[in-house]
Amino acid sequence: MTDKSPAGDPSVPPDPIYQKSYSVPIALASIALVGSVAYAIAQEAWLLRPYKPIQAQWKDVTLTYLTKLEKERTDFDGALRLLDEFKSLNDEAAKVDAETKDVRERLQAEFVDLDHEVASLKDAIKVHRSEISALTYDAEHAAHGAFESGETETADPLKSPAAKSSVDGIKAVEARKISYTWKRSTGEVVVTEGVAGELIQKFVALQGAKGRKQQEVGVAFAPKSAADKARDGWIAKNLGSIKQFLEAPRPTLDADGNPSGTQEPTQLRAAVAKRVAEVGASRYVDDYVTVVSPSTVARLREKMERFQTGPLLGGEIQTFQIHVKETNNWVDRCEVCHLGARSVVPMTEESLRDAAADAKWPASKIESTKFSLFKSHPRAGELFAKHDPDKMGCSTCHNGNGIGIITTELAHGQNHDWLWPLFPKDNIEAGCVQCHQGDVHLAGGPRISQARETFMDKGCWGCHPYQGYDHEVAELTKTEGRIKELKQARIDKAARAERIKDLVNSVDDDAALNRISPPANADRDALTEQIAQIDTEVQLAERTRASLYDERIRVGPNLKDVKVKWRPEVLTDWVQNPEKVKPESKMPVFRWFGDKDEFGLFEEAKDVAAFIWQSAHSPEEFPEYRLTAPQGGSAGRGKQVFEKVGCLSCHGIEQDGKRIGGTFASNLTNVGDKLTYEYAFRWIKAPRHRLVPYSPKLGKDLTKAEYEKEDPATLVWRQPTRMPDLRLADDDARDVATYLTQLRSDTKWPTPTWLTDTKRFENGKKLAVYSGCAGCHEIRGLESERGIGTELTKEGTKPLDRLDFGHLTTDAKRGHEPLEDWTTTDGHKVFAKPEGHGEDAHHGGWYNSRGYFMHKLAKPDLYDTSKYFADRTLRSRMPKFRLTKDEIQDLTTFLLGSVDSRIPGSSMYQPDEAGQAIRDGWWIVKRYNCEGCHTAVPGQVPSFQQLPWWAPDEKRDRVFPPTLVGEGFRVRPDWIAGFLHDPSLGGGTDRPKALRRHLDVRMPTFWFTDDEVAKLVRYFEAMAKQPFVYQPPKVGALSATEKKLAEAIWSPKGMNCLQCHLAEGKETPDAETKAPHLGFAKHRLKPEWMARWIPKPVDMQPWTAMTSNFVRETPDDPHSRWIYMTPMPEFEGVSADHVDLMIRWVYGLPDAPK
Amino acid sequence: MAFDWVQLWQETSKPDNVPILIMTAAVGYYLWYGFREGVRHDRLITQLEADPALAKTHHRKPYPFHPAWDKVVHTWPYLLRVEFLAALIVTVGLILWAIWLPAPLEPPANPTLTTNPAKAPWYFLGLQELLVYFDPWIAGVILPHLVLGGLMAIPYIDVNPLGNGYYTWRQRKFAISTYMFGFLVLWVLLAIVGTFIRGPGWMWFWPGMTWDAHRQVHEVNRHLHELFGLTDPWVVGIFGGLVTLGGIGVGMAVCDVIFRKFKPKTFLRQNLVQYLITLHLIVLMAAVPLKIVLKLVFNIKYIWVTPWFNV
Repeated sequence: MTDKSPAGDPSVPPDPIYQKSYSVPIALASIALVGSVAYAIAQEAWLLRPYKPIQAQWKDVTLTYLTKLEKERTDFDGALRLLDEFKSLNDEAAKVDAETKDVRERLQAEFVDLDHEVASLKDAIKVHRSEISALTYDAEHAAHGAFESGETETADPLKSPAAKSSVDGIKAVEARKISYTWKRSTGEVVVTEGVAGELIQKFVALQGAKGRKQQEVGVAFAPKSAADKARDGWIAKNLGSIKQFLEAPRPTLDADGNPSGTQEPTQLRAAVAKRVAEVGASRYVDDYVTVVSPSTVARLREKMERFQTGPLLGGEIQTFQIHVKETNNWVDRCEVCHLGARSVVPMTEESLRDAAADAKWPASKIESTKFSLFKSHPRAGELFAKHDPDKMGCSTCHNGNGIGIITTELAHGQNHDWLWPLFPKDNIEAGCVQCHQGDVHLAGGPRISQARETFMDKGCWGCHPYQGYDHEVAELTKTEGRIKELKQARIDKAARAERIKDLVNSVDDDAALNRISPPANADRDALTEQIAQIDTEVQLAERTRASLYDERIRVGPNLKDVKVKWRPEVLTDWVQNPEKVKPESKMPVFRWFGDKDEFGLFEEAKDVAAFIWQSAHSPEEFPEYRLTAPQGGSAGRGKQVFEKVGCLSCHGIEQDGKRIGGTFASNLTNVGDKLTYEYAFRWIKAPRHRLVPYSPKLGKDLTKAEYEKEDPATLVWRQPTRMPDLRLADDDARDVATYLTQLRSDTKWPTPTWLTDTKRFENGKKLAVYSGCAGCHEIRGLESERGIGTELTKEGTKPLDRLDFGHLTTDAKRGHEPLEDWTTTDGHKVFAKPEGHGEDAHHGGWYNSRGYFMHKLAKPDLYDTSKYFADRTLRSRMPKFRLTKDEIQDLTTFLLGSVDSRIPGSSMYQPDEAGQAIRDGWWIVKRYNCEGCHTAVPGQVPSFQQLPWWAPDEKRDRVFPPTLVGEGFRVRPDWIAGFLHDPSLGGGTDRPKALRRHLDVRMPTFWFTDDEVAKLVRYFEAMAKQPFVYQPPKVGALSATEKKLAEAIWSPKGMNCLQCHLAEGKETPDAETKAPHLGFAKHRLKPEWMARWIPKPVDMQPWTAMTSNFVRETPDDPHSRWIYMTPMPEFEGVSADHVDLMIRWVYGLPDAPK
Repeated sequence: MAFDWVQLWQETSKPDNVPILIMTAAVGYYLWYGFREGVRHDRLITQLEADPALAKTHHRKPYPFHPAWDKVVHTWPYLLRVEFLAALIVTVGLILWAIWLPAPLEPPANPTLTTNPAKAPWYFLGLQELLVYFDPWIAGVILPHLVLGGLMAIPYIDVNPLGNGYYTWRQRKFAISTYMFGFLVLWVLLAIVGTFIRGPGWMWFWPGMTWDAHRQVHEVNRHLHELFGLTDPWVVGIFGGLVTLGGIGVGMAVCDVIFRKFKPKTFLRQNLVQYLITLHLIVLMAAVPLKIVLKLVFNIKYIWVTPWFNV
C-alpha cells in the first residue's frame, strides 16, 4: 500500500487522517509532560519540604538575634571594662606585663634560637647518625659472632679484630666534617661547622638546654598569666551579674563614633525594672540574662552564618534526627523545624521578636515569621539534665508523629490516622505520667502533681480503680479470693477423707480389710495434716484481710453511724443534692428520676435515704451506740480552740462572709444542721476508732459478746477516715462540739416520716448499689462492694471506638459544641469557641480522647443525650462534681497521660532505693495532708499559714508547725518513728504537746500502721539524702572546764538558751518560748545537724528566731574552730570547738519529766 | 432528617474514590459516544439498504470519503501518534494525580481493631457487594469464573456475522444489551453501590444519610425453604436443588421460547452446544439480579442450602 497523500491537488479535500496534524496537541502534551515532571521534581526538592523555608527563616531570625546579643554582650563587656575594679585589675596586669617584658622577650628569643639551632642540627646529623647506628650494629654483631665461635677471645667490639672494620667505619663517619645553617630570632644566619661526632653530642646537649629554657620562659610568664587570669576571670564572673549590669557605666560615643565619656545607665534600670515586673524576677534571670561571653556568641553567630538548609543535590546534608536504637528504634525529627529547641543560648519568643524589631525588620516580615517555632525549650536545664533528648527523643513525652515532616498536622499527629496526637499546651504534662505513674507528687511537674492530688481529693478513686490509689482494694480482692480457694480446698479434702472412711467401713472381709486399712489410714492422716495446714493459712489470710481493711481509707464517711450522727430531717435533702445543703460538699450530685413530693424531694432519694437510715446501727442493736457527752460547753471557747488547735489546716469554714481554712477535709459551715452534739463530741475525741469492730470474716459488725469470741487480729477497729486524733481533753472537745453544732442555717426541713418506712428499703438498696455508694462509703451489708467505675490506669490508650460518644459522635467529629455556654464553678467557659485557629483550636472537632474526657468531666451524663432507656438503671451513673477550669484540665491531662506506654520497660525510669522511698512517702504525705500544716518542699505554703489572722511578718517559730524540709537530716529515724506513732510521747490528752509546748497548734495522732511509719521514715531520710541505716556518732562527755564554759554559754550571760527553749530549769513555756524542749535532743537530734545549725541557723532556715552567736577563731578560715563570739573567762583552758561543746552539753541534758 | 451534604462530600472527595468517579464519568461518556456512533451507522445502514445502487458505490462509512483518499490507514505513524498523544496525556494526568492526591495511610495496624466499614479496593467492591447476596463460594469464585468463562466463550457462541468493525445498534441489539446489562448493572452499579451506598456495618445508607456506625436495622433473613416450613436437611437440600436447577431449566425453556420467536436466526445458526451455552449464560445472568431482588426486598438469603455450599 502506498501512502497516497495528494497534498498538492486543490480539488481534493484534505484527507482527515493523513493530513491531520497532531503537532499542536502533541507539542502541548509534551510541554505539559515536561512541566509536570519538573513540578514533581520541585515537589520532591522543595514544596514537600516546608521545613526548608522554615530553616531559612531560622537562620535569619537567629542571626539577627545573635548579632543583637553579641552587640549587647560586647557592650556589656565594654561597660564592665569601664568599672574601677576592672581598671585596677587591668592596670595591674599591664604593670606586670611591662615589668617582665624585657626578661620575657629575651628568654623567648633565646628559646627560639635554641629551637632553630636544634632543628637544623638535627637535619644535618640525621644521615650520619643513622650510618653510625648501622655500623655499630655490624660491629657488635661481628664481635659477638666471632666471640661465640671462638675465633676471638674478646667480645668487646672495640677490641675485637672481627669488628675492626666496622669500628673504623664509625670513626671515619665521626670524623667527617659537616656544617649546619640556622637562623637566629634576629634574622641573622649562622653557619656552624664541625665534626660529626662532636655535633651529635652537641645536639643532645642542646635539646636539654632547650627544655630548661622552656621552663625559664614559663617561669618568666607566670606573673603575667596570673594577672591576666585575675582580670579575665573577673570579667567571666561578672558577665551575668545584674548588679554590674545595672551599675556599669556605658560609654557614650561622639560624632565620629569614638568613645568620648561614660553615662550612668538610669534608663537601663528603668527598662530592667519594667521587664522584671512583666515576667517576674526568676524568668527575667532565665531568659534575659545570659552568661555566655561575647566570644562564644560570636562563634555561634559565625556558625549560623555557615548554616545551610542544604541544596537539592550535593551540598552539606544536615540531619536533625534523633535515633534511639535501644528504645524500639525510636526516631524523632522534630528539630527539623524546631531548630532552636536545644540552643546553647536560650531564646524566648519575646527576645527573638525584640531582636527583629531592633534590627528594623519590615512589619510584614515580622508578621509572617513564626517566632514561637524557634524558641528554645522551656526549663531546658532542669528537664534535659534528667531527660536527655538524645536518649529519649521528643515524642516520648510530647506525643505526635516524630518521623513526620511533610506538614505540621502530620508531624503533630493531628490527623485521625495517628493514634497519639501532640498533647496541647494545656495538657503538656501528660507525657510525664507514663514513666512517673508511681509518683503522686512529681517534682518539676506542678500541673500533674495537682492533677493527682485532685484525683485523690475529689475521690475519683472511690469508683474508678487506679493503680496506686486503692492498692488495698486490689490486695483485698486477692486475699478474699485466696480465702475462698482455701475454704473450697478444705471442703474437698474433708469430703475425700469421708469417702475413704466410708470405703473402709464398707469392707466386711477381714483379709481385704487388713490389706486396705494401712494405706487408707495413711491417706486419711495426710489429709488431716493438709486440712490443718489450710486452717492455719486461712487464719493468716483472715488476719491479712482485717489489716488491709484497717489500712484502707475511704472517700466518704462510714454510713453505719448515720442514725446517731445525723439529724434525720437533713438526710434526704443531702442525699438528693449535697450542694444545696452545703455549698462546698465533696459529695457529688447524683441524678434522680421519677416522682417528686410536695417538698421537691424525689421518691427515689427518699428510698435511698430510708435504706441508709435503716441500715445504720442503732443503740438497740449495739449498746456502744448509746452516746453520751458532757454538757455545759462554751461555744465561744470552742471557737477559739477550733481556730487554734489546727482544725483549719484540713477543714474550711465560712467566717464573716469569707471562706478560710484548708480544702482537704469537709467545709464545716453550718455543720450543726446535720451533726448531732453527742456524735460531734465522740468523733472529735476518737475519730479513728470504731464504736464496734467489723469482722470481714463474718461479714458484719460484732456486738461485745460476739467479738470477744473472735481472734482479735481478724477484727477491724480502725475507721476508714483520715481524720486524726487531736488528743483534746474532754473540756476542749465539749466546747468545740458545742461551737460546731450551733453553726446552723435557718433552713427548715420537713419531718422525714419515710426514713423508717421498711417498704422503701429494697428499692433504696437497689439504687444505692446501682449508684455505687459503697465505693466511697462503708454501708452495712455492702462492705466488700467495689467501685462501679471503669479502671482508669490505662484510660489514655483506650481506642477511640471504645469511648461512647453516643449520639454526639457526629457532632464531635464535626466540631459542633453542645456545651458552649457551660461555665465552671469559677466562672470560666471552658468550651467556648477559641478565637482564631491557633494551635489549641479543636482542629475542627473534639472527637478524641481529650474532647471526651473534658466533656465527660463537665457534664457526666452528656453522652446520655437522646438515648432511650427502658429502665432508669441503664443510665450513666457518674455523678456531677464541682470542678474548676484548672481541675478539668488537670484531670484531663492526667487521664491522657495514663497510657499503656510504647516505651519498652528497659528504657523507663527505674527509681533507686531512695527514689522509691520518696515515691512511697509522697503517697502517705498526700493521703494524710501533711502539707496542711507543714512545708514538705521548699516553696510550698501550708494551709495553716494561709489563715487570715496571721500577720505578714509573723514569727514562724512562735506559732507555726516546723518545716519538714531537711527533717531527715535533722532528726534521728527512730525518733521520727516514735513521734509519728504518738506525738504526745506518752502524754495522751493530759499532756498533749511534748516537744513544742509553746505552740497552740498540735500534731495529732494519726494511728499510722507500722508499714506507713516505716515508709515515712524512709521518705524523710531519702528526701534529705541520708543513708537509710543511721549510724549515730558517739557524743562524748564534758570535762570539768568544758562544763563550766558550756554552762556559761547556756546561761543568761551567754546565749541564754532557756529564753526560747525549754529544758531542765524551765519546763513550762512562757511568752518568749519559741523552740523545742531540749531534753529530747539526745534522742532526737543528729549531732551532724547540730554542728551546722548551732553556729549559723539562718543558713538553714532563713526565718528562724535563733541567733548566730559563734565565730571562727581565725576569721575566714573554715578549718579553725568555732568560738563563742563574746570572750568569757571560762574560755581559759578549753581547746575544743565551742559548738561541739554545746552539742555535748545539750546531749547531757536530762529527759523531760513525764 | 436533613440531607447530610457533609457526609456526601466526605465520601465523594476521598482520594480512594477518585477512580470510581472517573470510571462513572468515563462509562457515561463512552456509552453516549458508542450510541452516537451506532445511531449514525444505523442511519447509513438504513439508507444503504433502501438504495442498493448507492450501496454498491458507497464507502460504507458515515464519515465523508473522497476516492482520492486511501482506504487503508497505516498503523505507523497514524495510529501510533494518536496513541502517543493519549499516552502523554495519561502520563501527565497520572503525575498530577499522584502529586495532588497521595494514597492515604490508615492508622497503624491493630489486629484487635477492625475499621468499620472494611472495604475492598474499588475494583473489587462489586464483588464485595455480591457477597451480601451470595455465598462466598458463589460470589467470589463461581460468578467471577462464569464471567470470565462467559467472556471467553462469546467468540464461540456469537454467530451474528453483522456488526464487525463498526458501531451499530440495530444489527447487534442482543449482544449490546446483554453486555450492557452485564457490565453496567452487574458490575458498575454494584461497584457504585458498594462505594457510596454501603456504609458502616455494610448497612444501606441512601445518599444524604449520615454514616452512623451505631445504627441499628431490623432485618431478619430467612432461607427459601423456611418459607415453606421445611427443616429436614435432606429435604431442604433436595428442595433447594429442585428450585435452583429447576429454575434454571425453566428459565432456559422460557428463553428458548423467546429465542425461537424473536431471534430465529440465532437459533438456527447455533448448534446445540452453542445454543445451550447461550441460554445457560443468559439465565444465569438474569438469575443474579433476581436473587439480589429476593434478598433486598424479601430478605431471602439462600434458595439452596447444603452443608457444602449455598446458593
